[in-house]
Amino acid sequence: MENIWTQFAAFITTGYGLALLRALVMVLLGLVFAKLLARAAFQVSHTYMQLQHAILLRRVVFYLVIGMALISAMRELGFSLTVVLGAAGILSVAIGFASQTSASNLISGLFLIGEEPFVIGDIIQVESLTGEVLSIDLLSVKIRTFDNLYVRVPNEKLIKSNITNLTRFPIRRLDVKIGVAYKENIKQVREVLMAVAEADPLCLEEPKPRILFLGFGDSSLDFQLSAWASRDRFFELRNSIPEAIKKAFDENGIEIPFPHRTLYPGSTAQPFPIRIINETS
Amino acid sequence: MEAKAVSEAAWWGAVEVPMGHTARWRIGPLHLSASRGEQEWRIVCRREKSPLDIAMSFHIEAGLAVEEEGAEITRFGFREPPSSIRLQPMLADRSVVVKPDTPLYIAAGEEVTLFISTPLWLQLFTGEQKTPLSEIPIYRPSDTWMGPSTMEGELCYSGTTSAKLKLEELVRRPHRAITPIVIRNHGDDVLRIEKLNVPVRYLTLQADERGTFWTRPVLLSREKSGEMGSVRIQGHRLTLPVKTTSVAAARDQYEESIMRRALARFVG
Repeated sequence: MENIWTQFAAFITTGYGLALLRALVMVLLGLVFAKLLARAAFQVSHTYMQLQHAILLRRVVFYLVIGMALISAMRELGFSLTVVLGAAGILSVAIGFASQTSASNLISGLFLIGEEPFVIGDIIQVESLTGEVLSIDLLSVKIRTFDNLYVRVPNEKLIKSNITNLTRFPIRRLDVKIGVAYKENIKQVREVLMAVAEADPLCLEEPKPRILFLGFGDSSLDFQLSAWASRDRFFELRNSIPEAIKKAFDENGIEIPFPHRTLYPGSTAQPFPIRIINETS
Repeated sequence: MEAKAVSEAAWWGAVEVPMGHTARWRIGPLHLSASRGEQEWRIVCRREKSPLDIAMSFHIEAGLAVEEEGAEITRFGFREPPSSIRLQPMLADRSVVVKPDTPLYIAAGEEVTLFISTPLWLQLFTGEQKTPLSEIPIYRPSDTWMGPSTMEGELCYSGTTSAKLKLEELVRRPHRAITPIVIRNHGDDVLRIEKLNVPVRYLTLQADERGTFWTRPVLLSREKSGEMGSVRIQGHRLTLPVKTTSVAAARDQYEESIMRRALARFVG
């Protein structure tokens, strides 16, 4: 043990040993300084810019300072930077071929950050996936679904897909489709639906709620109630208004029918045979 | 039970509530109860359907308020609950959109004054506390949107009464505040008014000797270009038709830069 320490002490006091020690100190100091500077850059910038831009700036500052510390450490150890850069240039061609997808994700990420189709905290829908944006990183976007699952979506996929931002605008329209029996009075149905919308304080008065007649369905007269709500209370209205419609229909005797089918044997076919069952037998 | 009819001038302010007793107010559509328990204040509120109800009463009774159907209950824990509770009237926490009875047209170079009333909110304070325990609307109006499009604008409350050209036509209610709105059309053509966005957040609340609530007049000015508008709230040369004292400060400070927005935000 004593021998190892003696050899170590002898090595440290040589020229190369001191250079190694200095390089290590540079890297450690660089790490500490990078973290502090990155944190300071985030604190200053996030009040003036979007959160994901501030996070990107923090990362850029961190890696820049680390990079400078590493370069200083390598120079201390006697590496020639031109040789290193030359080797990196050759390697990068090989790495480039191997990492096409990552490069594509990286570039797509930069475009997403610049274009801002969504920001952190927005609720977005991408194909069948709906959830809250947790972070917008260089290679992917992290989403939390409503059933609390963590999903990583590559940026390349987002750039190529239709993204629906459900929370970009402060108000949102709710469309409720309702069918009523053919025997019902269309005017009365409109009045009842409009009264339901007007009675709900979450339903915005402007833009005005609308009742659209969608058509003569197979089994019912089809309507659509379109009402607006603030983005924050949208789901509350989505839950409360169908209940209010059902209650209002019941109070006014308006029937929501089951699907109807009429069987017709045709004029040339035999009529359907019917057997009457006597209840007492 | 100590009961009394409440005059318009007396329904707000501080009341002493003995331990184990409940103070009950009826303020228009709002039924409000505040119970002082051994280590709590319990607030119960329930509202009638009509926002224009003018029933007013107050009494203190023994016992704590219990759960009622359709009521909201909130309990605040205290080591030693203060003996008094204070009701502080406030203006709405959002702008209020009001409409004249029928669309109004203001000729070029003309000026009209409309009178509107908006619902009040209540802040509840106990003892000498500076921070309110709770803030509740006397009547919660419907939401509405005011702006040039569904992408840009402001979430507001929808006014439940119409804007009137004559002050005498406006029914005075003890739980609503009256605001005179002066509209000047400096443009070259007629200005059509179908609805108005009243920025009550920037108004101070005042009360006259009869207890009727007022705010400072608001001036909406359509400039010569016809596009941009200015809104002036403070320092307007018009004064209120009655002598008033201050009841509550504005929720937000008025700044000229904030108010110089497109007229479409205020007039539709």
